[in-house]
Amino acid sequence: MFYAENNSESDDFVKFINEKCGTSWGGEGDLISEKMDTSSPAVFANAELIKMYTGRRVRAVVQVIRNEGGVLVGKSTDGQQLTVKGSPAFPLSHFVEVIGIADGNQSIRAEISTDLGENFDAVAYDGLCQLANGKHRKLFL
Amino acid sequence: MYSSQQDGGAALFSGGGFMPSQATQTPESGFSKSRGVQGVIPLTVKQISEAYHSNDDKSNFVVDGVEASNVRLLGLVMNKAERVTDVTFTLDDGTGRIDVNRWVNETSDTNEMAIIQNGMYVIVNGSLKGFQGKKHVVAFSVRPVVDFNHITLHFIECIHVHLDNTRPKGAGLPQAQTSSMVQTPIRSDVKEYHSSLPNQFSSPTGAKGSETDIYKLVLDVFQEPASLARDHGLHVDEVVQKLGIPINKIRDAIEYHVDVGHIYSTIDDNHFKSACNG
Repeated sequence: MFYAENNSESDDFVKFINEKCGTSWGGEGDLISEKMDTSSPAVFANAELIKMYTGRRVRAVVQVIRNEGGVLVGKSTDGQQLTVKGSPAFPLSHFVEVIGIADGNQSIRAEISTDLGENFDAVAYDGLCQLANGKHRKLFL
Repeated sequence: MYSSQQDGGAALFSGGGFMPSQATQTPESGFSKSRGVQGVIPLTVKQISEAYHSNDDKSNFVVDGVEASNVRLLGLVMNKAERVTDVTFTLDDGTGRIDVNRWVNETSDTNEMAIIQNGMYVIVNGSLKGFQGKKHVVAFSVRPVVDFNHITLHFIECIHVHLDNTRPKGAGLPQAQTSSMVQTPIRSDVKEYHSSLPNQFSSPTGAKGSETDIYKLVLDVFQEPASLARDHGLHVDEVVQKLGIPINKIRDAIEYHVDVGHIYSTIDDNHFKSACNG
């Protein structure tokens, strides 16, 4: 059925195999090496650190203050107000982890948002943000 | 030490913890550092991307000078794909992405993987493999993160283990030595003892004043060469005679030294002998 649908060249066939099997064979029969991707890390960040990462991928935890139609306003782990664009609404006072692009001006354009529930230790997370950006940066970035 | 707090993942595997046990860290066995059997090491994908093959064995990776064969990762599931014999997905832990593969042989394996969905936070315990330059993880277990404080915990553990493995060699030695002794003596107490006879025992820690002195005097009597030479040791009355201290105090002292293992009873409840150099 594959052949019937795609009257194809070998490159298409390889692409098809890769898609269906999750492999990464190249067109010449070589297995493309080093598929591990560390090129776009999401930096652990609080409101203070987000300022340094404008335009880059970050991850931050906020406690929901209010939902304003596609824009979520929350309190960052270092106690400041953060605006999250493009996030679905979450229950008030829940902690939400947002992975997205730091937009400057205390805001993030969300790609992935995860509801962490109500019981989350924001202080510990904030401490981790600082470790991951300071002394132990090389484990993360 | 951590295993009891974890969701059972670490306890499944040898060692049950992240840190090399003290037994494998003795200074005499030079090769144990890189070859000792490890538990599961928590790592970030970034760390794995920088891991390299150990010289002697091409199948193993080394992180911070420690063999990283069994690893724990925590991150988001992406691109999950189910096949007949296995399930694959990409794990994104925020520092990078790595492919994970979980063989499904039993129904329990299938059930475990069925609840894993894209976008879910999971903890992966698995074995780090390299194939034609590409690293991937063959998972023993893939479990959803239920308590999200585990996210913070995992990365703090990564830092902790990294610090432990990279601290200057020997820094952990004095600590290891003291804790391996039966008693943990307070240094000054040990010195007091050394005046009479060389011995490795400590005086009762915390006890002060005359009580301590009596304990010490009684032990000294048992450790006199003449006492050590006798098969049956000393009768309680002999100790009383030598020291001129009331018998009830002597018995208290003897009871203490028996409890901590300095002396032991021999032919009956009245004869005791030092366990030291006996």
